Amino acid sequence: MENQINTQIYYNPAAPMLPTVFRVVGRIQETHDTWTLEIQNVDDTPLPPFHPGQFNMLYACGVGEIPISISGNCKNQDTLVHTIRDVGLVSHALCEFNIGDLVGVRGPFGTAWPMEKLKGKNVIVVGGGIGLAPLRPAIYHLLNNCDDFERVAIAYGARGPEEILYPNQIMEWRSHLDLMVRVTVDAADASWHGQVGVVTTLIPRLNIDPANAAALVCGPEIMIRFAVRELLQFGITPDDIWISMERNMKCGIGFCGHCQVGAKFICKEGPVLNFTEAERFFKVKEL
Amino acid sequence: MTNPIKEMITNHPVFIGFPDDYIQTILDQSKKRDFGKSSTVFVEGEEANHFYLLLSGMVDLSIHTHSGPVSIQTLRTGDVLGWSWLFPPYLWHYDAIAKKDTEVLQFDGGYFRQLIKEDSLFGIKLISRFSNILLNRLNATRLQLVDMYGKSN
Repeated sequence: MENQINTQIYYNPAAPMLPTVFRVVGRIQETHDTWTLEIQNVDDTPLPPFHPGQFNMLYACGVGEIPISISGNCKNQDTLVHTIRDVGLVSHALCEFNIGDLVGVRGPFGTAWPMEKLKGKNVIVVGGGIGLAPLRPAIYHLLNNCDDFERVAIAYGARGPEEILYPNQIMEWRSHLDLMVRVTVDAADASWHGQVGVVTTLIPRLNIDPANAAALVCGPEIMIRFAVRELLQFGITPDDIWISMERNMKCGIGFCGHCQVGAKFICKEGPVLNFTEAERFFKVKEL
Repeated sequence: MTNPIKEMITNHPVFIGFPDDYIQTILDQSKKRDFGKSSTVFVEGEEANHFYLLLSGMVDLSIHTHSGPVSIQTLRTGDVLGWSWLFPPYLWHYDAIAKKDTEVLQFDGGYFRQLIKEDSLFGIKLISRFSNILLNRLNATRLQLVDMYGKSN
């Protein structure tokens, strides 16, 4: 597949399970349970290049290792940015990290959003909840190379106004004349002046020609399922829809099988998949 | 000269394909109304005698909870607001509040109920189109109920 990135780029090719030590250089609280960590290599070894949509395995010493999508700008390759939601033991430990703390990193792993394939097209980015984090590097790319694309629209949904990820950045994106940004929340009190409703309701209203459009979708799988259904109804063809699948990645290099879905190792052949490849997985309950 | 409102009605998913004389009658009995920001379009429990087509602005559907009103859906330009006029006891199920200055076309529900009785073909078409609106809103509400951004998802 065209979005297949050469994953034979480990920090230590001889020992791909050995993390490289990084230091936390920045820490931002995004929501009540979500933090963004900026980390840099403790020595000056240049980092292998990462691409929008890829992930790293982050290791909290003595606690464990989890896959976290890269959420920073690929133009800034000397700092890795990861947005982490505090949902388990390891993610909790990572969210507690302070500037100066050390974190183990392996990666970058997995396939990337097909930015080359999107050239000349209208691009619809559909994100839900923390699913905006793996999409952010793609949005940076679209903004950095806006001449390569036709219209770009972002449709983002969150549970409530206080759970909107990167709110200041969304405001900044809204100031771009060539970028359409729509945000909705599932429920809100009277202080919220924006749209209320699920993210799928934004799609039919996007002022974009579906005939020459492609979509990137990331969020909880149930959201992906319904968003894709709406995108297909909107007129986008299945092979122009790309999704990012979250699975329990362990080794990151297609050895252990923890992330296996059907015949695919999501850590290696995903997380970004064309919908034509992923469609059959969505038809199997509890897969 | 073309009438933009007539054009909007003619091409709206609820009315598309209806004969021109019906469209004209529908248009003749409709009434343009303005709702200022934060003003009430209708209140839960009150008689539902109308439905509305949003020409501009935004309207929030909300329900009262112990901690105050909670908005559950926002309707925008082109959306149809109100289906309680179709079903007995013809009472609104939610509050509808204009979120910003909003212009609507108001339709008389009683008139449409009569039209449905008199012309069953028109009635079937209209009810099926309103059912489609209901279906879309039901699906959206079900997704909201799933709490898809919750930690377990």
